[in-house]
Parts: sequence; C-alpha cells; structure tokens
Amino acid sequence: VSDRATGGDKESRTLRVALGVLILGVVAAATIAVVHSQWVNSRVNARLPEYTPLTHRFAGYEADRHDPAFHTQIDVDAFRRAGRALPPGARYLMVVPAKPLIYTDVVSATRIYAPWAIPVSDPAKADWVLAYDAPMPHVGRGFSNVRTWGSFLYLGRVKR
Amino acid sequence: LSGVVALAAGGLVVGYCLLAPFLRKRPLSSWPSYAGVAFLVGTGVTVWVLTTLAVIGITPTPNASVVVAVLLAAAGVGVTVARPARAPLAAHSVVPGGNRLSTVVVAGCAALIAALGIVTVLAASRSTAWLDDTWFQWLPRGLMLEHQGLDSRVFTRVPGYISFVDFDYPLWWSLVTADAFRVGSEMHGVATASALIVVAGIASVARLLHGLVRPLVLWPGLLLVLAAPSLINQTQSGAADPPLAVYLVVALVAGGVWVAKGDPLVLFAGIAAAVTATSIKGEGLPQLLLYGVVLGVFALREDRRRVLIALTIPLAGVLGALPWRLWVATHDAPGRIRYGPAFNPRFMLDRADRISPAFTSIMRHLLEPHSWLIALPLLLVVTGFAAVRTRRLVYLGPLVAVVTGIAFWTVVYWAGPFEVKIWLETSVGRVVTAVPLLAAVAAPALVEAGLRSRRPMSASRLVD
Repeated sequence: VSDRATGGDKESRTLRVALGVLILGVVAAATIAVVHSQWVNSRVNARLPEYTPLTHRFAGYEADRHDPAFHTQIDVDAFRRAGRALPPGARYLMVVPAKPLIYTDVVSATRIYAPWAIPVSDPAKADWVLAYDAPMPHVGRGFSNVRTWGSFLYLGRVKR
Repeated sequence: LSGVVALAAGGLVVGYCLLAPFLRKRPLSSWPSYAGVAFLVGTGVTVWVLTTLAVIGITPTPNASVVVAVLLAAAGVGVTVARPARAPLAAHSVVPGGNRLSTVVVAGCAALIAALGIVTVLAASRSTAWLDDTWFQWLPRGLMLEHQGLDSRVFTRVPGYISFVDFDYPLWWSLVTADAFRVGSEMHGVATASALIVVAGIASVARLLHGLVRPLVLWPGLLLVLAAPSLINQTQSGAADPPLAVYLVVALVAGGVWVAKGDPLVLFAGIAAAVTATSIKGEGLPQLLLYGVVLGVFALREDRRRVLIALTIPLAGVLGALPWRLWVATHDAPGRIRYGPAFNPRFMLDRADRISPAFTSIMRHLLEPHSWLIALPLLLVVTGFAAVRTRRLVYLGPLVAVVTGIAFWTVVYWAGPFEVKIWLETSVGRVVTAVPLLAAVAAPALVEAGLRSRRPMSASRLVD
C-alpha cells in the first residue's frame, strides 16, 4: 500500500509539474504575442484600454523620447550641450520670456543638464548668463564670449 | 535598461549581504525567493545612509555610493561570520496542500504575475516619466545633491539664488532618480527604477506571506495587486508615490508577519522598509505611525510581546526620518504642506466646505474599478468573512487602517494650502496609493484566516 501510495504521489507530482510548465508556456506565448504582434496587441488594447500604458509601448509603438516630458517644446538637446559648457560651481542667471510654463521648463532643464552649476536670480551674483528665446541682458561689463545652441539658447560669460 | 538593472543588482547584492545573518541557516534553495526583499532592503538602506551623510555634509557622489554599498555589504557579511549560528526558525505555520485545480490556478496566477512584472519593467524602460514633479523637483534635486551636496543656496531660501519650491522634500527618491537617470537612458531609467521597486514590492509580499497564506489564495490576491491599472500607470510616472506605498506596505506586512511567525529576518526587513518609507516623502511618517498604531492596537490581544517588539518598525521610521527633519528645522526650509493647521478647530471649521470634494474624490478614485480593480470592496467582504468566522478583533485591523488612511488624506486636503479642486485633480490618483495597496495585500491574509477557522490544519510542512 505504501509503495502504491508513493507511486501515486510521484505520478501526481509529475502531473502537477507538467501542468505548471504547460501554463507557464501558454502565458509566455501570450505575452510574447502581445509584445511582438500588432494584431494581438491592438485586440488586447481594444478590450482592455486601461492597460494602454503597457500595450502602447510595444508591437509597432515607438518608445518615448528619453528627454523629460517638458510642458513646452524647448530644445532639450541645446540645454544638454549648453550644460556641458558651464563649469562646476558656475553661477548663472537665466533670461526667459514671460510666458507661462517656459520658465519652469528652462529652470528644470538647466538644473538637470548642468547640475554642477548654481542658478541665481540676482544679476550681481551671476558669472554667466543663459538666455532662452530672449535677448542677452546688460550685466556687468558685457560678455567675454557668447555661444549659441539651436536657434534660441545663448550662453555668455559675464565680464566684471 | 541594462544600466538600471546593473544598479538594481548592486542593491540586490547589498540586500542579500544585510540579510545574510538571518539567511545562512535557511535552505539555499529558499534564498532566491528573498530577492524582492533583498532588493528593497539593499537599495533602501544604502540610499538612506547616503541621504544621512548628505545631511552631515558629505556629498553623496557616485563614488560615495559605491563606498557605502561596499561597507554595508561588508558589515552584513562580517556579522554573519562573527555571530554564532542559531538554529533555523521552527516552522510553525502551515498551509494545506493543493489539488490539481489549485495547481492550475496557482501556476496560472504566478505565471501571469511574472509576465506582468517583466512587461511592466520593459514598458517603463521605454517610457519617459510623465509627472512634472519628477523633472521639476525630484530629479534635479538628486542631480544637484550628487554634485554639490546640500548647498543651502540651492536647497533653502537664500536671497539672490533660485531655490527649489518644496524645501522639505526628503532626499531618498531624488538620489534614486538621479542614479537611474545617469546609468539608465535618462528619463527611461527613472521610470524603470520605479517599476523595479513596484515589482520587487510584490515579490516581497509574496515571500513574506509565503507559508502563512495558502498559494491558492495568495497568488490570485497578488495578481489583483499588480494588475491594478493605476499601479501600472504610476510605475511610468517617475513620482515618489509608488515607492513610498511599496515600502510602507512592506513595512506593515512585515510587522504583521513578525507577530504571526516571530521571524527576525522579517522584523529586520520591516525596520529597513520603515526607515526607507519615511525618507521618501513627508507623508510617509504620519502614514506609517497611523497604520502602525492602528494595526498594533488591534493585534494587542495576540502575542503581546511580539506586538510590542513590532512597534520598533514605526519607531525605526521615526528615527530614519529624523536626520532630514532636523536639517529642515535648522535651515529654515519649511514645506508648503503643514499638519499643524489640522489641529486648529477654528481654522478647520472655516474651510469645512473642502471636506466633501476631498472625500468624494478620494473614494471615487479608490472605488473606480479601472484604477484599483476591486481592492476596497474585496477588503470589506473578506474582513467580514474573517471576523465572523474567527471572532477575533485582530482581523478588523487592516480595514480600520484603510479607513484611517482615507480619513488622513481627507484631512490633508481639508487643511492643505492649495485650491482644493485643482489639487485633487492633479494628485489624488497617486498620493493615496498606499491605501488601496494595503487593502489589496491584506485581503489574502484575511481570506486565509477565515478559511483556517473552519478547518484546523493537518499535514505540516516547512515554511521554506
């Protein structure tokens, strides 16, 4: 009886493992289909629209850009390159048009791409001026050199 | 993705080293199941140490991160070697064996959780964080902290300088986002880090409840958690709310499991999670204290000694938050949201018209099936089931904690400084995350309690 029970247990265990593997395979195949097949993906999308944050990342949908999702269409790459031109510890004044949201975006972009520099609001404290879509202001005795990135971004070192 | 995965692997290794004193007498085959716990503990403690170093004036540069991680790992290994080995924890908890149907359900749910977890992380690795707070506050604070330390010209209000808006935001999530941004593909890395923490949270809860809740109940319950659309959506936000909710819930679940099992590893994990939770967002501490005290009071008729020891978890949360709170207090860096006005009856009465929109909005979000599926209604039903069948007060604890959470957030919106309608529209969907998450992870344990009272356990097997 004991031997038979042991054999039955083994059989039952093997069957369960087989069932588990089968289910794992089915789920894996379904997942791969959703990720790779536009046809499957669009049907899942139609049935379960609340899962678009997942389905809209695969199967023909392009990945988001890796830039921050700023409110306005600022030239992020220009900020990335201008940030490299600012030396560590540099204190910079930002000049931004008085339009809603652009100020927030420009402040954030400079902080992200030049985190080694310090933004100031007082022109007297500024070593550098960064102007976005705005003319360079009169600070100190002018600028030793002005560089530009894209169509809107200017960076100049203040002469004292 | 590979950069963030490498970073996560570092947190995982540190976590395993910290857990090693508790793990070494357990079967090696059980170690992989602690991966979620190890990742959360390793990442949580390492970054908390870095934020504390920043408070005392040491800049948390990437090199400093490596040094701290190595020292923590060495400390874990050192304690493991130095401490006399203890006998393995006696397995007192028992779950009944399943039949073929349960095998199908359990395997199906576990496979779906694994698939959903992988897809969630992969989707996050192709997403830019959509919440503006991420790139306006959390991320730049972390990047500037790594380069300049806690420079008061940047982190407090100094005339002539442009400072951050919310001075009191803790530093933990800022440092994580900064690291993920650098090693990942910028904002893709930030979203990936958030998704990894959420998935590790589910894995941790699975590990903590293993042996206490039968798989037929546990795995479908966890699938309901991870499949919640709101949680999935938030993994791509870059917000601090999902990590906060995960660490809070892991700390609370660990407290409950400690009371049930008396496993020191679980207590340690709970303490690490609590320390981390209160270092992520300001509301972490009041929530941890509220939920911890409520659950503790309801559990007092259980093993009182263990319940009292479990209170070290919220206490650790208080101590974990202390360095940053002291820095904020001594540097005149107040936050915009303060809890003081909530204790002024006249002030609160004057703005009582905010209660209704706040409460309605919170409840609408929590009960919306497209956000949290059936987390709250399910908690209500299973609490009734467990309470009626067991006639024990302790099983009312999770429901009362969830009600307390709803009351807490209603009071925050009631007393808060912003125009309530816009504030609710822009935040309620994420800040309350710990509440439904707590409800969802408590449900399987309550079902198990109700089922057990009907039929005493028979065959026993080791927890690990």
